[in-house]
Amino acid sequence: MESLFPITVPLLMGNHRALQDPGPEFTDPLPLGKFSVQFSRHALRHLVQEIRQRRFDDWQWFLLALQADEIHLAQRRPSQLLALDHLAERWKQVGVIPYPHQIKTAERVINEMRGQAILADEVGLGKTIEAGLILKEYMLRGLVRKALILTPASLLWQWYTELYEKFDIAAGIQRSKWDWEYSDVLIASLDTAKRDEHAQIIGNIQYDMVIIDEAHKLKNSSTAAFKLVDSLQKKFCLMLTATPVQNDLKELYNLISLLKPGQLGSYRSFRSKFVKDKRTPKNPEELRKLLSQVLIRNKRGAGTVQFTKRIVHPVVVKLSPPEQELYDGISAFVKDVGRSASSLSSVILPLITLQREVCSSFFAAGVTIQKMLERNMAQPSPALLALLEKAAYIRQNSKCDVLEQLLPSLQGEKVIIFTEYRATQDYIRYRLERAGYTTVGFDGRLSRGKKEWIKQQFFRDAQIMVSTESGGEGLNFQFCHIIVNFDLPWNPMRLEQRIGRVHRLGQTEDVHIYNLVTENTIEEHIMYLLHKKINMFEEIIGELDAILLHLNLEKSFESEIMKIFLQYDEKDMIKTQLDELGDKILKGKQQIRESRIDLL
Amino acid sequence: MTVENAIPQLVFKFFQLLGKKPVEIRKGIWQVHLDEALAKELDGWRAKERLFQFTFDRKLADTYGAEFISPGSYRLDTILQAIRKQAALSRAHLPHELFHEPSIRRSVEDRLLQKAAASVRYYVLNLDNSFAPYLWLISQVSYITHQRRDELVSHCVNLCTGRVMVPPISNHLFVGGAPVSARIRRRRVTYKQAYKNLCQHITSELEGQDNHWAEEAWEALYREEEKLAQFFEGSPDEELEAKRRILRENHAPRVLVRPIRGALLYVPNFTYRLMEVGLTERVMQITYDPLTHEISDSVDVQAAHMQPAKSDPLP
Repeated sequence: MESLFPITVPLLMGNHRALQDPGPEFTDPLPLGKFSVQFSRHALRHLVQEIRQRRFDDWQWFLLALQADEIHLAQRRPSQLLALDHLAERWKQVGVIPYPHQIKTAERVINEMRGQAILADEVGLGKTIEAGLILKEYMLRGLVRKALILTPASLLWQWYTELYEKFDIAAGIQRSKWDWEYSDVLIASLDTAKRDEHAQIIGNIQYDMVIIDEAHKLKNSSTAAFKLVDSLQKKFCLMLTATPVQNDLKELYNLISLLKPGQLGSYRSFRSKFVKDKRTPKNPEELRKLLSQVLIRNKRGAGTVQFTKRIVHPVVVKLSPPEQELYDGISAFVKDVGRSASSLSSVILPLITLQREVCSSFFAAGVTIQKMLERNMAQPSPALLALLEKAAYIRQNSKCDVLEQLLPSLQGEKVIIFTEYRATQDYIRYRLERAGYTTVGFDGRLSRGKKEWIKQQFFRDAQIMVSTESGGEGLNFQFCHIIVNFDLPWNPMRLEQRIGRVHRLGQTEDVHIYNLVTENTIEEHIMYLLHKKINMFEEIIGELDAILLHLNLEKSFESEIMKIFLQYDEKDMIKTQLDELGDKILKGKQQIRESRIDLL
Repeated sequence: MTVENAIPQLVFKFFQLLGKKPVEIRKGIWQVHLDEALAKELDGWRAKERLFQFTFDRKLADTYGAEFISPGSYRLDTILQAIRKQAALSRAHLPHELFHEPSIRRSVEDRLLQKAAASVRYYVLNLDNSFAPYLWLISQVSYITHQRRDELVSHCVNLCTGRVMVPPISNHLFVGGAPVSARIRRRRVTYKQAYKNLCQHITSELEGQDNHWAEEAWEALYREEEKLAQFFEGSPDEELEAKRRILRENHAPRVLVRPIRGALLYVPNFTYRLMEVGLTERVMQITYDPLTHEISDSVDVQAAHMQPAKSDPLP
């Protein structure tokens, strides 16, 4: 392609590396009393070379470029955030509305805290937005070029998407050793970074900014993660955590000292001055004053964010006799296998899957039964064969019937229908298209680009999106406020992720959640536990993960339910057991709330 | 001119230089066709050719969906980036016709007469028009602490004398390209020396400035160092020193000077061959530089025949 501009001379300017590493480009610092001055060496060499080669540009372009330089510098007003104007158009497109507390936080970090802060907002108030805004601002001011973002592995993509979509920052995700040097803005897992082979490389890189998400993981100063972050050469540092102090004031001390050593003095002086016992501070006012120099905590309420309501509508579905017969057959099969297995842990996952699928649709269960049969072709289980035969003869899907009856009452509003299974997804779409609805399908197999495209299709044309993916890798659908849970995931975290696609910052309507629950099935019990017992549908956003983590139920929640289901046949017994599990969760929640030291 | 006023001018000039003419499709809203190359330049490699509508009025942008161009906006930023990538080096000259030669001649004579005895008279034998080469450098001066403040400074170095000065004449009077109608005086200062002189000049300017910003930075730095010392009390000195070194590297006040654009400017010189008539007679040659109003190269050529000064070959 022909060059657009009459360019003859490559850039003299824009070498931002120079800021990072003045050594090679700049002369040695010349002390001038209170400051030093360094002159570019490269510029001269470059200039002479260009003059000798007689590579001169058009004078009119030169004057225009000069004017552009002046405007570029003139619009940098140190007291105001450049990023707000810069991103205004983009935010309009992607539907981001920055909240005043987020802007104020970014201003405080940049103007008062010298770019070193712990962002300790309560969950759901947008710490990531604040961090992204600060990063973008520093990049626009030319103060940050090389940045490292350390997060838990599960949040890598979320960070990537947030930075790209909301801040136009094309970050890289760390995959290999070479990425550390190669990418200017790199997102990496803290667990990977702390490994020796990586830590050595990172230790030699001079970062302009380091951001650490879930920074409460650094509260123990003897861990490898703490040592890694301590060893990083960084100019600006942001630590993000909703719980900077939980059980021990020493955790807080460690975190602050990691960010700004000496802010709270030596540990001995901190202990004598501020610690009554490990959870009770002495001189809280003075401590708060010191903390406020490095820590910002926005709380829900006036001046921050008011989330819209979550309104739950349970919709009870009565199965037809053949469907009920198949459900009972599968449940009996699951219980038989589960109870007779020598080690439950080896069979529990496929059993959970089958039991959940049968509540979703018989197509989904049928596919799994067929796979199980194919695996044991030599000795096919007669029970499975019988179940498959039963499934093949079912001609009705009561849940879909109820769904079709429900949709007209939603008056043409956009709806997201969640299911866990692709077979169910295909069937729902088939039924709804047949009934005259426009639908799009959304699942985890789609590439990022296609997901975005489908999101746009849903936004513009389709009324219904049928999705198997609850996480959605940062895709948000605030333009929709009705979701239907065609089947219920047993893990409340997945349920929270589903709701979180629409019920988040930027949602202006109350969110309606329709849960389709089949009568006389395990779903009824799950619904009881999640809705009635722990009220998780209306729970404060983001608090649930902390509770499950605290109770070590983060990964085993489904297994706990399955164990209860396998152990007991009577409905009342199952209910009692689920009650106990619910009480355990409520107790955990209480413990977490009480254990937070009220300092911030 | 304020930034707000300068922006429309810049945007229209940008399109004009690219051979495009934005059309005002509604009062305050302009439309221009972006071909694929320009669309890619502005919006990245995935962009396709399109009609681009823009406005400088926020209300119109909200009402009609045209892109809003304002200080700090994304669109202005992409345009600035595209422009700032261009033209790092150029050249231009001031035509002799820009100056009224008879006035210059009179002024030169008057200045000579002021210095000479009362009976002395000067007669101009001939006039030689030439150009003196100047190196014009625009440097970005960055004042860096934990914050950063940038400013542009502009200096010219006379490549015949090595003298550094702030350009006293508007750059819009210059005509692009090197002169073709007259000789260019020989450069007597290397570029390296010229840059050295410039650095010295900027250094002395910086020394004379208010350095309150640096004092504040040091105060903050000392406070941080004090906290560090308290924190590392009883720990090995190396740890404290390492942290202190990083702190100073990152936050000690410093100024970085980086020339970002340069141009060779050819400024007209008026070289007169004069006959001085007094008690004795002699022929002399003087050169007047209208930029600095200096008379230089006063040479007595009575004994030796005047040799034309060697000049750089015309580019």
